[in-house]
Order: sequence, then C-alpha cells, then structure tokens
Amino acid sequence: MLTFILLSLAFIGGMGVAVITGIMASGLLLVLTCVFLLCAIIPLVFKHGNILSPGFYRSLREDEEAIPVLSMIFFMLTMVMFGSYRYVSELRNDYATHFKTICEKHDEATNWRIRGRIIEEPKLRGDYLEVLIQPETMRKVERRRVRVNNETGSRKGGGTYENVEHSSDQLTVSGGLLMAQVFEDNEVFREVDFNQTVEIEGQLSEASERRNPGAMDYRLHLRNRGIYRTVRITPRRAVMRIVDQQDSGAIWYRFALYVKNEVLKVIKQTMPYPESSFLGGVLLGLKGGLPPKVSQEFRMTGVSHVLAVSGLHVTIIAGLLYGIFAMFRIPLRIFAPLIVFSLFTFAMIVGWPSSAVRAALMNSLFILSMAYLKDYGFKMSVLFSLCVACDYILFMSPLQLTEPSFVLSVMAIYALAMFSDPSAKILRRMLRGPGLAFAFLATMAFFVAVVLKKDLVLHPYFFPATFVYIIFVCYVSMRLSDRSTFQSFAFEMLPGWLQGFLAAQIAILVAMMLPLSAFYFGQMSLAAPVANLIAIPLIGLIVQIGLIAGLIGAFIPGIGIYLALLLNAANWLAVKFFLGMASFFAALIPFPRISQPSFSELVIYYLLLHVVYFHSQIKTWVLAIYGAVSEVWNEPEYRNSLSIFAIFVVIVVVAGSVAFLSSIERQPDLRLTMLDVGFGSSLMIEGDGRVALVDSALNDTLGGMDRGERVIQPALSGKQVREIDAVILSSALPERISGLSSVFSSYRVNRIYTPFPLATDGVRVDFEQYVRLFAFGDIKLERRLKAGQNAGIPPGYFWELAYESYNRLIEDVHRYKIPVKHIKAGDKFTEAGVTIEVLHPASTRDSFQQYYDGLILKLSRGAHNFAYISGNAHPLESDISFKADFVFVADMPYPYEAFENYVKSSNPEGVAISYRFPSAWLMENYHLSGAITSRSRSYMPRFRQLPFPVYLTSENGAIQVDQLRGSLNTRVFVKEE
Amino acid sequence: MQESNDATRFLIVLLVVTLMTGALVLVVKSDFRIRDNVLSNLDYYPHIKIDKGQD
Repeated sequence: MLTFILLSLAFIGGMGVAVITGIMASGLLLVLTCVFLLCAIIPLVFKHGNILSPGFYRSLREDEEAIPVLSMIFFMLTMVMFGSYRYVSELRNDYATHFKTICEKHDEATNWRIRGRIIEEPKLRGDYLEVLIQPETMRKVERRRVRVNNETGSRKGGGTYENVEHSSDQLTVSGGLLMAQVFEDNEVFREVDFNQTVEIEGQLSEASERRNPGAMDYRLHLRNRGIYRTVRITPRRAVMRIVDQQDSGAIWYRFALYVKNEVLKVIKQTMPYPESSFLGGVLLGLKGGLPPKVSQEFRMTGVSHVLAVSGLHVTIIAGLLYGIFAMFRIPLRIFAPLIVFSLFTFAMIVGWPSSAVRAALMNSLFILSMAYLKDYGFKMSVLFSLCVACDYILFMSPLQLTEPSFVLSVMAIYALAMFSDPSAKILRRMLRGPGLAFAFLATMAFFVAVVLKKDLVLHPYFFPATFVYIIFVCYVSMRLSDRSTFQSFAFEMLPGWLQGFLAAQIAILVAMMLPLSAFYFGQMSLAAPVANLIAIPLIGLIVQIGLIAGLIGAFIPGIGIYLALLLNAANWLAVKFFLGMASFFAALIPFPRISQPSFSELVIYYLLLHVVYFHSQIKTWVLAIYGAVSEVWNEPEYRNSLSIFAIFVVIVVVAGSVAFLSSIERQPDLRLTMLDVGFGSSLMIEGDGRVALVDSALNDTLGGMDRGERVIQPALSGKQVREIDAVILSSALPERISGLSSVFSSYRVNRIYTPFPLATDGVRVDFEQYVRLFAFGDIKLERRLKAGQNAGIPPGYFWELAYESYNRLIEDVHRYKIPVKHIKAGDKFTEAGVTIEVLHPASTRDSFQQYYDGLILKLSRGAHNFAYISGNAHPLESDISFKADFVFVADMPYPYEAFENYVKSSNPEGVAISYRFPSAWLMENYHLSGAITSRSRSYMPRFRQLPFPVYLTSENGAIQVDQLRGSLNTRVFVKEE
Repeated sequence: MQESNDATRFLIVLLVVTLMTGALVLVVKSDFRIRDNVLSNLDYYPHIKIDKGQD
C-alpha cells in the first residue's frame, strides 16, 4: 500500500513538474518513461528471476522487501516521467482535425455551421443555459445578397435580390468541445436537452484570457474542461436548431439523468423558491438558480462548499444508505456493491465533478475494503483511496490538476486524514479547566472586537496580529491546562463524535481553508469557523431528508408526492434556518481581503505546518536517516560512493535554487499599471513597497458589474498590499469614482486627492445641489437652472449613477474617516515613491466641469516623467509643455489634434488609453452618448498612424509600465495575434 | 452491531420528528401547497416541466 501511495505521489508530482516547467516535449518524456521502466525492471529481475517465469509472482508476494530500493527509485522516476507525459499529451491538440486547430486556421469573423451532440445535461447559469457540445462536423457559411433580376437595367439599384448561401466543404472534427450559451429569448431554451444532435450557425468566440493582474484566466479554465470556443445563442448572434433526439448513449448515465430530473420535479413541487434552489444545489449540484445575494452570503460566511457537491454530500449519502441497509439487517458483504453503485450514480446525477467522483471513489474503496479486505488502519486506508481517486481523475483529465476545485477537494481529505488526530491531541492538551475558560473567553473577545469594530479588519497589521494572538492564546491555554488538576471541565469530557467533529474542523481550517482560500481567492472568511459548526450538521439533515423525499416523491406513485411534501415541509424549516444563519453571519462578521501568498510561500506554510504537527515523527525519521548514513560512512568501501552521491545531491539542490531564484521577477523601481476596467479608468502606482490609485473605475449597478470589486481588488490582493497610500480622483464622473466604495470595504485608504469639492461630513447632497456643483455640458439642463427652474430628477441612468456615486463617496469618506485634500494646478506631492504635480485645472470655479476640469498630472521618478490625462486635451495646446516618457489617458482624448500634437512633440515610448465602448443602458438618454461613441470609431485608425505604440485596454487588457534600472519596459496582458 | 442499531434508531427518530414537523408546517402555513410551489418555481430550471394533475 505504501508503494502504491509513493508511486501515486510520483505520478502527481510529474504532472506538477510539467505545469511548473512548461515542458512540451511529449516524445522525449515517453522515451524517458520507457527507459526508466526498463531500469526499474532490471534489478527486480536480478532479485526474483525472469518476470515470465512461473515462480516470479510467488517470490514477489512472499518477499517482505519485494522491490529493491534501486527498482523503487526507477519506478518512481518512471511515474514522474509518465505523469509529465500524460499532462503534456493532453495539451497537445495541434492535429489537423481538432476543433481548436480548425477554428484557429480561420478568421474570428467566420460564420460557421456546426453539427454536434450535447454531451451533458444543460446547466442553468443566471439567465442562460450552458450547453456542452461535441462538434462532429463543421463548415464555413457565407451569405451574400445577390441581384437575380435587373428589370430596370440600372447599374446602381433596383431589380430583385435574393440571399445566396455559399458553404465550404464539410470538415470532420475530432476532439475539443464547444460551449453554447442559450439565452431565455431563444426558442430552444426550454427544449434543449442531453443527447440531442444540434446544428448551430453563427460566429464563435474565444474565451477571455487574463486581462488584469490577479484576475482569473477564463480561457485556461475552459481549456482545462476541454472547451476551446464559445457561442452565444441569441437572436442576433447565432441560431441553434435541434436536429435529432438520440436515445442511445450509456444506459447508466441516462438512468442517472432520469433520476435527477424526477427528483428536481419533486423539489419544484414540494419546496417554494428560493429554498428550492438551495435544496437543488445541495442535493443535485444545480448551483445556477440560487439568487446572487444568497451566493454572496455563502461566500462571506465560508459555507459555499455545501453547494459544491463534495465528499461531505457523498459521505452523508453513504451513511444514509448504510443506515437503511443495516436497519433491514442485510449483511455488509451484500449491500456494499449496491452502495458503490448508488454513489457513482449520484456522482453522475450531480454532473460528474472531480470532487464528487473523488468522494465516490474514496467512499467506495473504504466500504469495499471494510467488506472484503483486511483492515490497514483508518489513516492508511484514506490515503490509499485518495491516491486511487487522484490517479483515476488525473489520468482521465490531467488538466484538472490546476483547477482550484480539484485541489480544494483533495486537500480537504488530506487535512482530515492527516491533521484531525493531532488537532484533537492539541485540543485535549489545551482545553482543560482554566485553559478552556481562557481559550473560550479569548475567542469570544476576538469575535466581539471584530463585530463591534468592523474597521479593525482593514488595519494593515490585522492578519499578522491575529496570527500572533492565536499563538499567544494557544500557548497560555496550554500552560494553564498543564498546571491545572481540574478534570471535569475539559475538552475530553465531550462525547467522542463531538471531539472528532471539532478536531476535524480545526484540521480543515488550518490545512485547507485558510491557506488555500487566501491563495486562490485572496479573501478569508472570519465567520467560517463559527458558521461551519452549525452548517455541517445541518446540511447532513437537509440532504438526508431531501433525498428521502425526492426518491419517495419520484418513485412512489399517487401518495409519494404528498409524503414528499410532508417531509420537505419540515426540510423547508431547516433550509430557512440555514439561509438565515448565512445571512446573519454575513451581516455580523466582516469578510476581509488578504494578500494572496505566492506558490512558494504556500509551500513554506505547508512545510512549517507539517513540522509543527509532526515534529516528533520527523525527528525520529531524521535521526534514523542520520544513523544509517553514519553507519555507511564508517565503512571505507562505501565512503567514495556516498561522497559522490552527496556531491550529486548538492549540485541538484544548488541548480534547483539558482533556477528558482532566477525565475523570480526582479521588482521594478516603479510600476504603473493601467488596469482594463472596461468603460472608465484606473491607474495603479507601485513604488517603494507602497501603492496609490488614480481613479477607481465604474460600478454599474444595473449591469451588476462592480469593476472595483472585480478588477481593482484582485489586482491589489496579488500585490501583497496592506493599505492604499492615496487615491487621486481625476474627476467626479461615475466611471472614475463609483468603484471606490468596494475598495474602501476591503482596504484602508490613507488619503484622497480631488480637484472637485468633496464634503467629509457625510451629509448627502440632493440632485438640485448636485447639478449646481457639477456641470456635464448638458445645455438644456443648464438653461433651466439659469432660468431659475428646478433641476427635477436625474434624466437617465448615467445621471443617476453619477449622482448616487458622488453621494456614496461622501458617505464612505465620512464613515472611514479618510482625509480629503483638494488639489489644483501647481500643487505637488509625493505618493508611492512618485512625485505628482498637478498641471490642470488651474482654479476651482463654482461649478466643476466634468469633462473640462479633469486632472492632468505629471508623475516623476528618477529620470522619467509620465503624463496622466483625464481626457480633456485642450490644456495640452498651450499650458502643458513637459516631455512625457509614457502617456496614460483615462478616456478618448478630445480634441484629437491637440492630443496628437502633444504626443508627437513628446515622442513617448508609448501611450496607454483606458477605453471600452460603454454599454447601451449606460448611455440611454444621455446627451453625450453620440459624441462618446463616434469618437471611439473615428480615433482608432488615427492611433495606428502614430510613430509610437498606442495601447488600448479594450484590445491589450491591462498595460503595465515598469521602470527598471533606468529604462522603461512595457507589458500588455493580452498580446495581439 | 452496535453501530447498525444506532443508525437504525437515528433514522427512525429522524423520520418521525420530520413527519410531525412537516405536518405542523402544512397546518400553519396555508400557502405551502404543491400548486403554490410550482408557481413560485416557474423560472427555476424552466426546461424541466411538471406533469399536470398534481394537487
């Protein structure tokens, strides 16, 4: 069993090596696999004779040390090479008939007609269905409008026209998937189903890659699922037709889908919405229908794992089935295969995610070993079954290795298996008499402090201080418990199951949830330890009652549905309580951001954790190895060999360290990053270990897209930033200020600089006051005000957003007590290692002109100067004369000629413009919508004629400019092909 | 044997308590009926259609 575990680790390690090194030589890896395998077999044959001889396997079984050490080393190397080969071979999809290869050979604007089969049950995601299609054939389709009859004889027009379709030869596709997003306004929305053959006609899109620092790479995520293109099925973009409904396919899978649909029907009849969506999520893995607010509350309280159908659910179901069979006195040897069948059917029902497959495999192996095999001990059995599950999943789909869901699922089980017992020992030693009282009071004090003073989590040293506090509380509790003779008031007095549950919670927290949540998501739920104490037992109850109700309702005719209603009526109470609990903790306990640790920091954390938990075992191992090496060293005949081996090890370690250190990116003296925030702008300045922001993007409340939360926060959390030194707002336009609110909730901001008036008393202004403070160039409105008429209400969404964002800024500045400094031309200050000089606006008028009084800044560090232009280029004609080495523009510059003259005279190394076409609803009824959209169309070709590179965030993603050793290096996140 | 007895007892108690609580909810909450539930779930997985004739 140990041999198998080691070989599994080598296989997974090999895949890890392929990920880290990026090696693509699959042929070489396959050759090395064969060579190492041969090397492993030779010592084995020397010891036991020929593999093909009759006594080979018997001698192997009877020998206690069946595999020689040398063979074992080569077997492990074989598995490392095979793991790397398997991963690389999955990435190699450049053969001619692969879906990706075909798409890449053609233009993005190509109109395709694709025929393929739906290979999975469609999933509801918000307002669309996600449909996974295996393309079988595809052909290019062109439609032209051709004049077929020219009765008038005119050259220019007249006559009869027809649409003529021209299609290319049919191409056969093998490999690669297409993801179709079928929206509600489409006919097939309610008809599309698993196993149908469909025909799609339209343009395909490639998923967005990582456009900003700290952002998710959606293209990589889809590639790991085998998906290479997406298509939106909306009336304007693409059409989907159902061609054929096949009844073929795996019977088992169809059976699982049938059960799933029947249980879903029962849920829809016996539980009202939104509670039904929760039950559908936890029981059937249908996450799509849950209201966004509930999903957010689950994330904040750290209980969203209940929706990712995982080991917990599978174990609950295994326990339920075990209980039912045991109730009828059926022997384990008979019902074990039935449980295994049910668990795998359940994994199919919930969509075969890696977490459920892993859990089904592990539970099955555990039950089968209990029924038929000898007992190897709990920890060893769990590790063995975990290795089998990982090997299976990674062999079938190696790209899962880098998916957070796979890593989280595996590490949760690893944490439970390895850290539960040591955690229980620590708790037993720590929580007795006065130690227990002290630990309880200290924990309560922590939560009371965080609840009463929520801003505490924004303090730069909150997490380091919390870590020190936890160590201190543990140490004092242990000392108090050690000195105490008190026995009746202790952790040991709790029932065994409760001790185990609490220890498991601690194990999961320290070995999975805290480090991996910080690493992957840059957030840490403080409510998670408390909320999970309630959530986990409760979810057990909900899943069990829901499953019984679902099966009774689906398969007992007549009375079944009424019994299900009765059961789910009680379950409804539990679900209500669960949702209420999540809502309560989300409102009570803050959900702070944390700096995302790097991969090497994560490895160091896990090494230290193992040293802390297993120091005595590690010490024993180290002493044993030291003893063995000393013994060999004392033998003169082995000394030379050992020396050579030691030199080899030293060379490997030094080479590895050099390679690692050289791969670390050298920190630049200054980094300026124009983030891709869509419509709006945000420039991040990093220097001397500090960070400042110029503008903070748009929070489009109607579109549900807060760029402050989605772009700025992840960018900051990957930077090891604890606070923002300053935020400079170039104007009060909503696309510059509204994203700041969510940034305030996660980071402490030390100062705000604005050229416009901003009160710090927290008193909102009404719309009348607002339009007198800010001018948007709306002549009609200004005329009305001059005539003494009332401003009325915001005339459109953009106005409303601008007005609300400004008031929100006033409230936030007051709430977080942030000093505000008013700036104007001539002011000079230093932030994040950069000297910032204000060049425009010269003076403050009664009314701040949003499009004319925006800031123009000169940023200087060392020999380099940078310009930040708010959008208004008029001052560049006369007032601004300095030569910028790089120019950042927050919007399409206007007038273009002034901008062009300035940049041509400066001749910078590049220009970065933050621009994206605004959404239709944002510009609805806005008086400048025409000007904004026409500028973007007319400017694009002119930018290309400039003698230096012009980068646009809409095309290049984030644009990063590094000042390093006196030179400037530009990096764009999306490279043009 | 002890484990299976515990499991059996737990299941029976769970079922009895659930049925009693469920009955109480149905009595107290007059809109907790199949027809009302179906109506409130119209937009939740709309392609899964409920057969007519229930309730």
